[in-house]
Amino acid sequence: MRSRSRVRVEQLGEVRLPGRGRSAAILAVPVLSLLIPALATAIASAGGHSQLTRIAAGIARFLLYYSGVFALLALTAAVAAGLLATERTVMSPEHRILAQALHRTASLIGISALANHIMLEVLAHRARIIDGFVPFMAARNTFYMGLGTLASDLFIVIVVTGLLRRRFASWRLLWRALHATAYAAWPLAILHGLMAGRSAKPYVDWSYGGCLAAVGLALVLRYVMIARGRNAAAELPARAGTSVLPANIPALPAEPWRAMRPALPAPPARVPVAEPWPAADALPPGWRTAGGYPDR
Amino acid sequence: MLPVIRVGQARVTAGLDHTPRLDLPSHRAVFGFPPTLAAAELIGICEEVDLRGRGGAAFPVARKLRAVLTAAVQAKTGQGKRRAAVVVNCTEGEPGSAKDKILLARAPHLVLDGALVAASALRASEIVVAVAGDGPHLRSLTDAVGSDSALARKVRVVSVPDRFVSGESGALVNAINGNPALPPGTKTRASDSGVHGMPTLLSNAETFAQLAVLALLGPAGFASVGTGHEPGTVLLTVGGSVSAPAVVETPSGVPLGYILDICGAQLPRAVLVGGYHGMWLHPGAAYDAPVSRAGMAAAGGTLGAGVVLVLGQDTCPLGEVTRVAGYLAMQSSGQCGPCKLGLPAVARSLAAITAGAGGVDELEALRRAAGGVRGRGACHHPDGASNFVASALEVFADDLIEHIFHGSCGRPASGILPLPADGGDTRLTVDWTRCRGHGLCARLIPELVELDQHGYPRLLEAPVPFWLSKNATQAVDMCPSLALSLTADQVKPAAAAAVSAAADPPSPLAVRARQQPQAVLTGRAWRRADLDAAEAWLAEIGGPGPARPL
Repeated sequence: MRSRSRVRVEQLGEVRLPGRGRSAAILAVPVLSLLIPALATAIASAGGHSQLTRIAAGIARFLLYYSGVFALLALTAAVAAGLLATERTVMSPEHRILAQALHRTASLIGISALANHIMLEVLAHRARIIDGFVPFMAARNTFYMGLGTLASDLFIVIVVTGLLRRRFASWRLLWRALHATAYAAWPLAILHGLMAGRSAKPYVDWSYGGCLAAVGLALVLRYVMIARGRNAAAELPARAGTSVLPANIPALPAEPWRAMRPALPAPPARVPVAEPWPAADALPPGWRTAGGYPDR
Repeated sequence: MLPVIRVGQARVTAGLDHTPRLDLPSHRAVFGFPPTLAAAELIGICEEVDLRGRGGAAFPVARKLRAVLTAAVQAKTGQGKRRAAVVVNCTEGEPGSAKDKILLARAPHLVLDGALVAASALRASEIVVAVAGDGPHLRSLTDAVGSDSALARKVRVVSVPDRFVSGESGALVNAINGNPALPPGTKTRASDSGVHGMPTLLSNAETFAQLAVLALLGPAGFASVGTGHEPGTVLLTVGGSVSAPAVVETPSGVPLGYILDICGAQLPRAVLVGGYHGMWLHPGAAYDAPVSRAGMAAAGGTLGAGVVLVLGQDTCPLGEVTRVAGYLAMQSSGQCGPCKLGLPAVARSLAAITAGAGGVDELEALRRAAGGVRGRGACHHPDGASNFVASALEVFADDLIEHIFHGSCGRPASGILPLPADGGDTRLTVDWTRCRGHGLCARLIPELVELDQHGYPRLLEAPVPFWLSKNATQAVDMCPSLALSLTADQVKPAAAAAVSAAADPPSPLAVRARQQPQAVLTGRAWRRADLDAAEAWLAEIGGPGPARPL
């Protein structure tokens, strides 16, 4: 007989893994970094004298002044953390995992701040849209503006290929080469920061120089390490006690294990092939009586 | 779908000789209407025949009923109206078991009758039937529930993820209440607080089918077959190296060897009783052990949920055990540390020994790891897995010696023990030419990766479980050498074919042929005298026939 009414089957008990909202949160950072300045500029340029307009104008001014600095700071942190994450003489694997996480977070913040910076410069009519993407087209300060655009383009390529890293498993060297352009883009960004905008205070110049020197040194060390020993893992100390048997045992005696390890369980008696049904006295007591089977 | 064989009188499989599935009219024709019993009557008859749960734990049904009743009455006096619930557990997460699926697929109304008898005795407000996975059993169940509008109003059908621990009672109650199907950390008995906090009678599908038979036949009729201490019949799922795997209904007390001969087992290397939380038996012990809880316990095994898996002589026993140990490790729900890290350690040590790469120290590490997980989890899973491995080490002691000292026993592991193969699994793979032993993966997924003495990863040969998928993806993303990757698993057609419920039921003729065991029995494995004795005994326990038409 066929069913007359449809019975609903409830699908229950699915386990939700933690961190499901993570990708949404990650996406929110660049989206917000574009939305907030756009809104602030729109409200500020709408005019009026309300409190809101003043606050929006303040936010827009602050971001216009500082978002480039934030981008540079975050991308500096990203370059340093990325370099640190490859280090294996001082850093333990746990610390390298932390450094990778820091590298990714700093890159996300840096690329968001960069987008924010470009957008605000365009909105403030200090640059055209094309200057955000095509280098050396700016009307004034062409060279240093162009350096910034070039660095920005490189960072975008690096972040996008970084997100697609798993797809590059078969073109590992290509990925490495693309990713290593960060070491070129980052000094360009620093030059742009120092020369394209307002004139920097001396301590800023000094700290930029210090950062360049530190990362340069780390970079040199990294490639020296790579050149010296490609396979540092082989130099790790071997774990003690991997084999208890001496390496030079002569031919094994007939039953070597019994002599060496009396604690090993004795091999069980094999079941006779002809009679898998043993005699009655071999059975546990009470399970079979003379007449047949007991206990019923 | 596995064929159904019965030995002697048919009870829960009655009527299946003639039809692939008992729909409501044919079910009523075979079984009639179950009586309406008061709670005291029901508890009385359950106590009289000592009916036990058939899901593996063998908890007395009468005690469970009484606990639910007590809790319901106490709650009633406390806060007005508080009713009980009945949960039929058909999740059957054990890969070797098929009896509950077969019951649902072929005699769904018997299971529902049992649930209705219990529900009316307890005045339960809700009956929940929980199944796992899709297949004929789910279609048959929804058809059966939908065939009667009164039934459709009373019964909720719930589908939970098809995993080993989904069927644990706490996990099942969690799922029915809308939470993840994971065993709870603090033990609460379903009889105290189950579905929506109601006192809940939770038992397995076969238990409810047996309950229906008990209500129909009465205690005397029920006890007319089987041993004195454990009367009635038992459903077994026999698989592995047998020519005719089947679900077998047998009176308790019949020697397991008799059942194994019917199913075409030939000189096994060992027999696994009680499923993957059960024990290995030497064939000598297994063949003589009566099919009953006491009989299996006396032989050093356990009846569990009635899973009997035969391991033939031409497969590597340790290889088979390793496969199952890897499966069990990945079936941990990832909640309790000793289980989620300990079981992979057991599987890795076993894999090393099986591959001839482990010495005596590895055996000691294995024993330590297997012993170390015992009693240290929210559910029974680590204990059951540990028992399984420990009994394998005992029964396959001479294979261990061959593997440890000679590298191999020379036989391939041919995948006799059934494991679910759904093909959608992913595995971690390493490009060894690229791996530089950075070791980040071992810190990110210690459950799946361990470093060897050179700092290179040793992976567990098992698909990545759902609770590790995020960590595995992270490990792939963070591999500094881009050497680690996740690849889709190839479908292994041979695995789990024994119990996968896919094909149509066999023709009635084929079923009848199977049901005449003397046609299958050969003189090879049995002495003539034993055969005669068993036949005479079976004729005797068939008895004068039940009071009602069965």
